[in-house]
Amino acid sequence: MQNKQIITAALMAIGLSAALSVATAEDKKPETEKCAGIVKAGMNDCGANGHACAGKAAKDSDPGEWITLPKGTCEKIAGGTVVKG
Amino acid sequence: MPLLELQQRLISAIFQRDQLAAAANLVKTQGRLNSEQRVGIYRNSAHGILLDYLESLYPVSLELVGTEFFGRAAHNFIDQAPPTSPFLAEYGVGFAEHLAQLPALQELMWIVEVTQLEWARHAAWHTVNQASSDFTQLETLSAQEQAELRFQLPHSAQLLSSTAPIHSIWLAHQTEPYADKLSFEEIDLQTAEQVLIFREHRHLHQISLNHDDAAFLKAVQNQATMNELAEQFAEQLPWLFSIALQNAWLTGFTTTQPV
Repeated sequence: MQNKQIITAALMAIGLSAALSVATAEDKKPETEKCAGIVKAGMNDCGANGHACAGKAAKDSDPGEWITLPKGTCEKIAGGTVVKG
Repeated sequence: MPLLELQQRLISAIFQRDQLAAAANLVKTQGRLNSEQRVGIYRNSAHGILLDYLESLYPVSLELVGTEFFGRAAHNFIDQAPPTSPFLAEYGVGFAEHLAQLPALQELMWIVEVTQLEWARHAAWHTVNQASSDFTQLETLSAQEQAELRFQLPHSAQLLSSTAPIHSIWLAHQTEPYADKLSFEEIDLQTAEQVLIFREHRHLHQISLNHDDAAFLKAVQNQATMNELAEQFAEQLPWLFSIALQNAWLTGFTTTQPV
């Protein structure tokens, strides 16, 4: 097979695999929510509460620190508050 | 004495055994501890913390060589290569090369290769995640651009080519029931392995590659163009791309020349 044909076949394979990956990723992506007030110190997800990044929460169950959870989970946890946005 | 000089002499005492007495001249004897013993507390404390850290970084190597040997090797390493950065996660690189110098391991280089694998896992884990390119956009490129395409592995990717079955040995020392796990006695230590380690979101992947996949990823890592890949892998190329993309081994592409 000539290079040109091989490249065409390779690009088709890439296109198919990429389309499949996107579809799979979209299928799997669960709905989530931010849940505050339940995080152990150092286990928070993202920037909040006056610091810049994940893992910087200084104390347990800080109402200003959150982690991402599957939607609907937060309200089942004692002390958990859903963060909007 | 200026504070900076005092600090430097104390650091010398912590990381150079023969500087302990010199630093002790700066410290008073108190109670039952003489000045050298009092400086020694700081040396032992720093070494103890770094030893604990190296043990957590290289758990399989620790099991393979034993606590006593590992401890001696680690203390010498800490003296020879003290931390140079305030980030502990950056410490420990070069420990495999340190082990490779030890006479006791000259006939056991597979242990050193396992240590290299453990560092590769650590390095991959501490690499920032990146978003994947949209590969469906490739069809919009001209034929010339498609022929000159280059692809990228994840930034975290570590491709290891070892003379020993390091992936199998590492698996044998895990408590989790991995599907391809063998007991240590079942492993042929003469079998070479090609291993890919990379981070995807919060998951660290470690895969023993077959010969073709390893050669393909090596070529990609070496910035081979699509045209060069087609030359090298011929009819296999579409299949190699499919496998690589389905396993997230490729994250991007570029049509520009490497710098």
